[in-house]
Amino acid sequence: MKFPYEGMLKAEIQTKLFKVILEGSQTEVEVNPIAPENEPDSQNKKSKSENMCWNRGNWLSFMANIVAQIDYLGALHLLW
Amino acid sequence: MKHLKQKHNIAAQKRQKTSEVSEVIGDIPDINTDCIFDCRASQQSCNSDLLNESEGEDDRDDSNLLEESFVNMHIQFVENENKKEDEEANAYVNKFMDTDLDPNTPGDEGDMYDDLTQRDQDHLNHNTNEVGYSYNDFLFFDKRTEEEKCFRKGGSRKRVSQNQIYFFQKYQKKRRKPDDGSGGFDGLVHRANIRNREDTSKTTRTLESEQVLLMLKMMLKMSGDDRGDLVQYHNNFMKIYKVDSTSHHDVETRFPSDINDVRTMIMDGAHSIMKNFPVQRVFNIGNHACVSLLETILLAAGHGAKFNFAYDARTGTRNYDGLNGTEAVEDLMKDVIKAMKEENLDDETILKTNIGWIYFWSDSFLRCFIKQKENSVWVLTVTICPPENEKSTGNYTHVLAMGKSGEDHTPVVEHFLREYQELMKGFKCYFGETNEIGRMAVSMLTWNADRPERQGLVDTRKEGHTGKVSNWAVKVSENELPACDKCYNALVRNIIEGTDRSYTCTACFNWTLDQEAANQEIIPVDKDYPTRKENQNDADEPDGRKPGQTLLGPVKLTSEFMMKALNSAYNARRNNAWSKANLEAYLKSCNVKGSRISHIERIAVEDCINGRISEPKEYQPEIWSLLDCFARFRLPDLPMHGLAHGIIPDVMDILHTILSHHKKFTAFVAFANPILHDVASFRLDYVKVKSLPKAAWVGENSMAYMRVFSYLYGMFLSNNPLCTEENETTRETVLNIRCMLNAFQALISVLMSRNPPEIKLIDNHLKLFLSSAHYLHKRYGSLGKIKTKTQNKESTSGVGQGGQQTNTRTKDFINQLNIDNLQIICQEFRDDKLDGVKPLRAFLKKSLSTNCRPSVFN
Repeated sequence: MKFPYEGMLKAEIQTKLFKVILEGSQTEVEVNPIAPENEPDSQNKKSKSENMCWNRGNWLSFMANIVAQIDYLGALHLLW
Repeated sequence: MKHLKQKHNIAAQKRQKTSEVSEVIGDIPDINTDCIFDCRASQQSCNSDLLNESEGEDDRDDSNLLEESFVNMHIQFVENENKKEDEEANAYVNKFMDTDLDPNTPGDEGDMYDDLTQRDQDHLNHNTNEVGYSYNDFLFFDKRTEEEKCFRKGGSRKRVSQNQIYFFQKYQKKRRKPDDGSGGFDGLVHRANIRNREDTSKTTRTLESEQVLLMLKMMLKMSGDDRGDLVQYHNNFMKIYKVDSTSHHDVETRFPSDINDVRTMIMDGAHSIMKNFPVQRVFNIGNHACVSLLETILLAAGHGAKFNFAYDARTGTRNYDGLNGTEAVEDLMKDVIKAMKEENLDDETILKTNIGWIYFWSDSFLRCFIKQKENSVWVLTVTICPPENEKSTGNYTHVLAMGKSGEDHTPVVEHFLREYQELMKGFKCYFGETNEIGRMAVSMLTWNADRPERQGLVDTRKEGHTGKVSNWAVKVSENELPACDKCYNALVRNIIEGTDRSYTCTACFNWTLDQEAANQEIIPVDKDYPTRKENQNDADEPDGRKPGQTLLGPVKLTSEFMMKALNSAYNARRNNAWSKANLEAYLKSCNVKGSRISHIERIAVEDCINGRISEPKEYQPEIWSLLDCFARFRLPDLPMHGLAHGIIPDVMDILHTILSHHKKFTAFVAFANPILHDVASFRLDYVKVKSLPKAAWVGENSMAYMRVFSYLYGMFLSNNPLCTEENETTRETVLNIRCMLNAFQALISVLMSRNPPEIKLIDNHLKLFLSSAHYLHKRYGSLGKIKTKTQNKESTSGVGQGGQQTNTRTKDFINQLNIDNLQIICQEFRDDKLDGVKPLRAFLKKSLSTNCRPSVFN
């Protein structure tokens, strides 16, 4: 049998646990947590939970730009 | 060049003391940049939490603010400091309130030296037939208005331009003695000495003017009382050696004998050295004190700057040194030549024009760490193609504008963008180094700034969702962006084996943003995102952001994209086709700043009511039309901000979070500090480490720490188990840390290498590091999880309130668990459909009370 929380983000599981443990609400967990990948609501939830340590401006900007920048503008030590 | 630095210092002092500047920027007593940068580093460290927690769609920049609670706690201290500082500032401002150091301000010389002046200036007009340049050839130094040139309003007799005569005399002397560049200062000393700044007939002997220069340098560092003491000291020596009674006809210079002489000859008087030393004119743009870029370059060149031109017209050679060897400078040269051709300059003139680059730097900084909101100052500097070995000396960097950070800097930015575009056409210049008048042209290579400053400059959003990645409009998907297992393995293999096996993965984005990839269009639009209307003309909207889209992908920003987005949004809103919410949702998805959206909303609604159509320039930022600011990495990601104040402290935080969680942080600090002290004791200029914990670190401290990163954490974890009772989880954590540390050290090495390896290798190292951080986070749990304001309040209010406190602890505990363990907890209690809330709660409470991880994790 497939684990009902498989494929869920950590933050989503945490939210459910908070609600269940701290507020005593059971309705949240009774809903099937597996949603289709392209379903807008599911995606909205994902975009709200930006928790990964790499999900920061500098990390992502370097990821997206720095290689092409070095190629065009030269070594980073030239700019500092 | 001999005294270049000293003279620059004088100019800097003079600029700093100009009353106009004080009036414009307010009461700024003294700017100790060392302190500023230390404070800034410290503040950045302190506030990284706040910066992260403000990552909503709100695009306010909170990075310069301290926590409210901190300010409240220190309110009394703050008030006292404010009062004290205000008093100091007022005293300082009053001191200079009546001081005018602009050489163009009329003095009292008009009446006193009427005949003498005319006679002493005649020689300037009579040397035009001599070999070499005449006084008039230096006319480009004279930036005075016609009115300012005359002694009296409406009069015909003209005053000497102090800038022009300074460099003309420098040229004359250097022509006679090629190694002596002191002619300008010699003339200045002579004019100050005879108290007639119009007398250009003579110059003081070099030995005497050198003595005056030394005295001036000392006096600029002294207070008024100390200056009097120095003069007295000098006089006493004269008496002791009885040289004051001897006649010295060969000494022409009368050195100051009391504080009045100091004022009239050196510091303040109409004929004084400080008053007539060549500096740029100060003007006001939007409450910013500004100086001209052209004048700055002219004075620097005149003083003997050895510009590192990309194209040297004297030798007719192309220079590939440093930045000159990059594709960016190649493109810049093409732009400059194109601009000159558009000015209809002939080929010979173009060939005789030196071509160089400049880069701007702007940022806000605090002049007072406590009064943060009111005291932040914004500064704009320019660096003019410095030689590689003098880049860090500061001799080629000049302040162009200064103002309060709260002011709108847009007019200043636009002014200097327009000015540099004029300078691309070339201009006449006196090169003090070669003692020649020639032509040079410059263009902007980059505008260097940190991320908030860049976002402010180009009107994009700050640390929200869509503004997080510089030069992109994208909401990052945490699920799809990281490399999947297959891609990660392939990456590791490629790096180890030195191969380049690439394949298209459909399961992940492999740390790549690609606006052409259809599979990256996965982010659902906001509920208010505009829908497609019938008969809608798709050509009006930019590709990637069409109304009616349901899913959005990444878009690389260009000025064209941004202008199209703004135009279509304005038109749709003006025609009432979109609601305000539609407009906001659409422009947010295009990474347009919130205040700009409000501006467009206001104009569109007003135009709709009044039945008029505004020109795009009325609602678009001018910078987008002045140049494609998003292209060619004109606003680059910089290592000082991105690495030294960004990723390196972030990685340190991650590691320290793990160590703190296992109660090993104190032990680590005790282990690391003796090593750091030893390394620091070597006084190596490339390893300027500071001790832990990180406080008031500047960029080079972080970079130095980076050099010993792997060693420190590696050695510590090799000799100290993460947990007293080591288990599989802790061993796995250490393994993941090791992966991340090594990947990070390798990445920084290739990024900061003087000879960067091939681009593909840098890309691989970047992905390896991101993947290793991703897996560490995924396996370990909440890393770098910053408490939100709400959580902070909850924590505080929970103190002493049993249930609340337990809840907070439970939350904290759940936060600490990694995803596998969370799933295990759910699995454990799923049979009773979490009807087992009570047993689950009991289980967690037990876990919390024993302060150890549940057995299910072992």
